[in-house]
Amino acid sequence: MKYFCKEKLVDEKNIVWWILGCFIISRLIMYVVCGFSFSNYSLDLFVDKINRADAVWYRQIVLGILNGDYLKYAHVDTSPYKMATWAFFPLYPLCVAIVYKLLGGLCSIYVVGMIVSSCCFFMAMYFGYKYIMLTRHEIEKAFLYIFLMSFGPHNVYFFIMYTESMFLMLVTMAMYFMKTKKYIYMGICGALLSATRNVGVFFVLILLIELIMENCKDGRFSIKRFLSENISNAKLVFSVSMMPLGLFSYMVFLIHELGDGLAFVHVQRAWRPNSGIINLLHNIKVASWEKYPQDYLEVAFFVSVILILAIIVNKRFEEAVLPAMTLFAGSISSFMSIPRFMMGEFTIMLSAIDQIIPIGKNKRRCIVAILCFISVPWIRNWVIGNNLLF
Amino acid sequence: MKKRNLALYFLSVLLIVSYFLILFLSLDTSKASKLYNEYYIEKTIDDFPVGGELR
Repeated sequence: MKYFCKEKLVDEKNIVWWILGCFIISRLIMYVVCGFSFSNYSLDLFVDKINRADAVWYRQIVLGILNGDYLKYAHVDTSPYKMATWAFFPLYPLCVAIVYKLLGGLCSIYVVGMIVSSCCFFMAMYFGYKYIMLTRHEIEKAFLYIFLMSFGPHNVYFFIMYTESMFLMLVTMAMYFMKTKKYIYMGICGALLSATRNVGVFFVLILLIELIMENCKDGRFSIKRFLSENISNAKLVFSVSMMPLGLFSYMVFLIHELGDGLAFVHVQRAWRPNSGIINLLHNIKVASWEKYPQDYLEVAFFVSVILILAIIVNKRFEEAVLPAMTLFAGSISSFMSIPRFMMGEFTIMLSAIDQIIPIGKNKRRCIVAILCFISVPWIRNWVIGNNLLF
Repeated sequence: MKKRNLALYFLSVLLIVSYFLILFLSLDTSKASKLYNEYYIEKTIDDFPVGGELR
């Protein structure tokens, strides 16, 4: 597939090199920034320092899978905080465990996790480019998307042993297959998505909005036409029924191991002691009215809301569904992890790029430079243990 | 209707029915072990680091 951009022919090969180049240089920057933060610096120390917080949990889960005692009762005393790990969905640690076995224990679990994350990130960028060309037809947006995902703030999450890369890859692929109407592939990605993170199951809603939008193309919505057109499509029906398969497979496993299929929901109380809409409204009131200056997480929450509203104003409703659901589900207890969740949503960065591209070359360069500059102290604070960045 | 389409519809119904069955089984937590209820959940909820610090 070839696209024209400013009289220059751009093909997929160039994009692959662009992704590879951005990936390598941005990871080298992480290594150097981390190096300036510690004495007696080595590659092992880099891997150890950059994999923290949830990466420790995932390492423990991978060890549990490898030792055959995943979720066993005897296992709890060896978990990072001596606590239950079943809030973490199993697909990513399972993949890491498989690759670790295939490599024969050649690298540490963290390194294998970083390899898996990097492969997923590469695929996510490639399908991100394909999706942008399909929906926006602007190669500049595709280039900028890859650049900001590699160099912008929060790029660390897509390199370390976190589910962010895998989730981003599956969301991007599922959205691309949805737009190209390859429903079986979309269903497979949806099923894997719901096995990666609990919010993955909401992809069903993205498809629902997409189908409603298609039905409304002539300006009217007809339930009769909606049902007849979609139910007659066997592949579509099957793909929809496949999407929650990952979540329900995990529930079967939890029933078998613990006797509680909703254990991953019940254990959320540990993460969210005060949870609910009242709590969310209180947090918004504090952040917007009572507190000054706002902290980083509160600013990230409001920026996310603005970017979601921008998607809605552009009438790309299907792109707003997952970030909106994730933002709501994540912020009903606190604004912790909101920036991370949002960066893994694909369409949030796309929304930012939709706003950045039309403002002119010089202003755009300025904004991109600021975003890249911000990421440097961000990386440093991550490796030295700033708790706001979990 | 093609055989393949029929098979897809059949599998879809099978999946949806099994989801409801799993959900029904999940609502019944009486089978959850004593260890799960008293040790795992209580220990996890009581000791979990909220805001990066242990409560």
